Amino acid sequence: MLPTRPPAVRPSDRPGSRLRGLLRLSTRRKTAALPLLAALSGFLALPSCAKRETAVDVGLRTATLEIGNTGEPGELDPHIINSAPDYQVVPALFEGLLNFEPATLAPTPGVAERWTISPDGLTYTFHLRPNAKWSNGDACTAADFLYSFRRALSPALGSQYTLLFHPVRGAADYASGKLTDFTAVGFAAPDPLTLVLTLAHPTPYLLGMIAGNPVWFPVHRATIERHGTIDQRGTGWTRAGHLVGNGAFLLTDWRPNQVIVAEKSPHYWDAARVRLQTLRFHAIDSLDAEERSFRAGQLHVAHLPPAKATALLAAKSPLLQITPGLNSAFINVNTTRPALHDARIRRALALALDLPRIAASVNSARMLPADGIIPPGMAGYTRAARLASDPATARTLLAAAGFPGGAGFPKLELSTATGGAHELAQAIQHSWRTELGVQIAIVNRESRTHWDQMHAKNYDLALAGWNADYPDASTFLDLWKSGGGWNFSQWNDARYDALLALAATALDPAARLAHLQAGEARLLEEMPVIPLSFDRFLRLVHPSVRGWPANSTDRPDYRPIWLAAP
Amino acid sequence: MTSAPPTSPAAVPEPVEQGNSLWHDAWLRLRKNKLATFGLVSLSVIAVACLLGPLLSPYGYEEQNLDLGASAPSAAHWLGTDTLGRDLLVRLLAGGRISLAVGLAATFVALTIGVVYGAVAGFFGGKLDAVMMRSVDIMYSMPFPIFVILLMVLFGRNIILLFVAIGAVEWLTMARIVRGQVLSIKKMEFIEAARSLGLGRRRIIFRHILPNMLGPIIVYTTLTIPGVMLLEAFLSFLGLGVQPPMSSWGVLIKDGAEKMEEFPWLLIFPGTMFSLTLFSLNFLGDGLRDALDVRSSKD
Repeated sequence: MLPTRPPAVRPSDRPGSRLRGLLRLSTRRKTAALPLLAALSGFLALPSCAKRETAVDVGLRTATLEIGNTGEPGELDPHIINSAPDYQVVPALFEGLLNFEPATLAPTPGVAERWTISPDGLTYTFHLRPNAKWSNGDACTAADFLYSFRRALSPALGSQYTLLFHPVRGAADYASGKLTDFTAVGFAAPDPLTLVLTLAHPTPYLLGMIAGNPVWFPVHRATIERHGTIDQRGTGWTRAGHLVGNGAFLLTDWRPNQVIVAEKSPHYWDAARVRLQTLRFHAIDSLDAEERSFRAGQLHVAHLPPAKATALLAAKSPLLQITPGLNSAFINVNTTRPALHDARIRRALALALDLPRIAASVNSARMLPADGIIPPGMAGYTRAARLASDPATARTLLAAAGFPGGAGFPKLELSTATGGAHELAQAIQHSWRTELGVQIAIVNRESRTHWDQMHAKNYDLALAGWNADYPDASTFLDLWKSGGGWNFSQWNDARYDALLALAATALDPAARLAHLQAGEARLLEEMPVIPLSFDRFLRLVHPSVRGWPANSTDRPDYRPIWLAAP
Repeated sequence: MTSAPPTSPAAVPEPVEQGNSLWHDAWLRLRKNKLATFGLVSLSVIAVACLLGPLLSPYGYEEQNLDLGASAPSAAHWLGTDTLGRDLLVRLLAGGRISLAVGLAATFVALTIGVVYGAVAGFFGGKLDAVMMRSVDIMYSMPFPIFVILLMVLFGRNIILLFVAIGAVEWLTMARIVRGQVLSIKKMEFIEAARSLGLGRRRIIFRHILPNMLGPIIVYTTLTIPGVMLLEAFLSFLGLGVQPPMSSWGVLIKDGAEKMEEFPWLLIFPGTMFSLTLFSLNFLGDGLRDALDVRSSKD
């Protein structure tokens, strides 16, 4: 408006009057319009909300890693833990004699800075580093390890993994209560920085058993005894404020069903190399919810429903991290059932499955189709015999066994766990019907019942699997030894037992490998289990997370991780 | 309808004109109700499609095509396929057979038990009534999914048993409704008249009292069917319902919900079908109540 001209404007043209006109609605019907306006302003404010710092951004600034941990850990006591969420937290709080290389699972120095093995393979001497400390500043010594091994093996404590001590002389007897004098067990500490293990028989994979396995972790004697006796469970010594660990991080807060917080420990011997300041483990029960939290910027690392991973894989998403796992999924075959007693029939059932095709349609991200029973990436093992789909041979074998075209074959049941692989089961059912003419019924059972039925040997066929306890082929092959506790197939084969016995005593790695290979070949020939797949671990990892050490045991090492803007 | 009672005193005799039967009146009222008519028509269409569809489809409900996998709706597969390459349309229709059959059969079981139980309790009254109805109260207090699961565990799984098990927990409300109706009807004059004519108890209950409760019974029945179908969906969701490869709407919705982000059609179509059926049943139930409840009608 020109300043020289007199203001001959009509009232309605006055600046502000139009605005007042617009606002008339709100002055006239204040009550109705107010919420509307509030909602409108809220809506307009939304974009600025989205730009606000998320937990992931804050983490970047404060070196805090937000981790989705599937559920609430049951326990943080390294000798007692047994559920997946526990295994994500405990390695941050404690450190064993050895760590492992993520890619190869080869043992690396932990509390032990070096070790020697006697030529006969029976004596292992570990030299502990003098600067290893507990989170309260106490020195971590060989006596702590002796105390911890005694605790882990105490029958009253009831650790589920005492099996991992069995190569040590007398450990199995001490764990079962047959031996009560711990000094007779093959552990000794000649001086505070030396730990000597004496074995009952040579065990080439002993270091693999020790590396990163929580049951071998030390616990702080004074803390344990302040809260209870050596073999007492649930004394509360693992609560935040009580727990004293020797790991790179220190438990500072544990809010059940919400979050576990661990801060960098100043006393850790390698603290200079630890770049994260805080770890926050969120207990989120549902995979869907965890994935949504990740998308909302609340988590750096999250699990996701397997079905979603397939879509992300197809879209080549850089967020999806797929790690092959040291595990094997298979069908247990009850060889005492009349129709399944014949190895030809078991082979026919296995050969009729086109596993690559089934895996591709059921879940290509998660399932790596199996061509044997031992997963790839197993240290020191390469497969000699391979399983490949061959429906024509399968039909011939079935006919030779007396069921041409499946005629007269009894109706068997395939037991599955509820919420598990029902699509996989249906694909198997369909393959057997179309390829062999064999009809089976799928029986969904609640997970615990499903496993109880297998323990009771009260099943025909059952979907099952096994995770490696230590990186060696024997962790799988030993399952089907005659009379073994996990030999749900009830398959007893003298030749197989002999091969495993040879492998157990062989000192020469090449000879041992040959025996193990022959063992797997025998298994694939007789088929007391039908291999299905090797399952991969699926994770969403935010681009700001650097150095995440993916490994096939899914037990993370948080020390090398750092956060940097993507 | 042979023994329609004198329903209203306003029945002025007009001998020339042919009187309408109760059923005919109800039918006329029902037809006037647009939502109820819609419910009836859509239910019939769904039922016929479920019965005939799987026979006419070129695909079998369990026929897999692993090479195809999950595919979006197309000319070959109108509603798409699931991850195992099975045609969703034929699985939806075959599953509908199960869901509708469970709904009807379980409701029939509930109806039979509930009506007889409630009528007996209400008619005889006194101590018998007290005992019978308190046992109903006790059964009410049991969480029924657990009761059904218990039955399944005890008797194994088969589809017939599923009908019976669901029916066996659904009759309680029906028994209460029927008892309440009997209590009020048995005090009416026409029952008095029947009794003075020397009719037996059974004849009075089934020929005179029961027909007068048809309205509430039919209404409650149409409301029970959706409830039962939801329960079947819930049991299938827990893995206790139908066994694979057979499908039911509950199974399809459960599977679809797991994959709704990648393959939305696996949830949308079964969900729509299920909701449509439930809505239709509820509309029809509402319409039937209005049509059959003579006392509340204006003509």
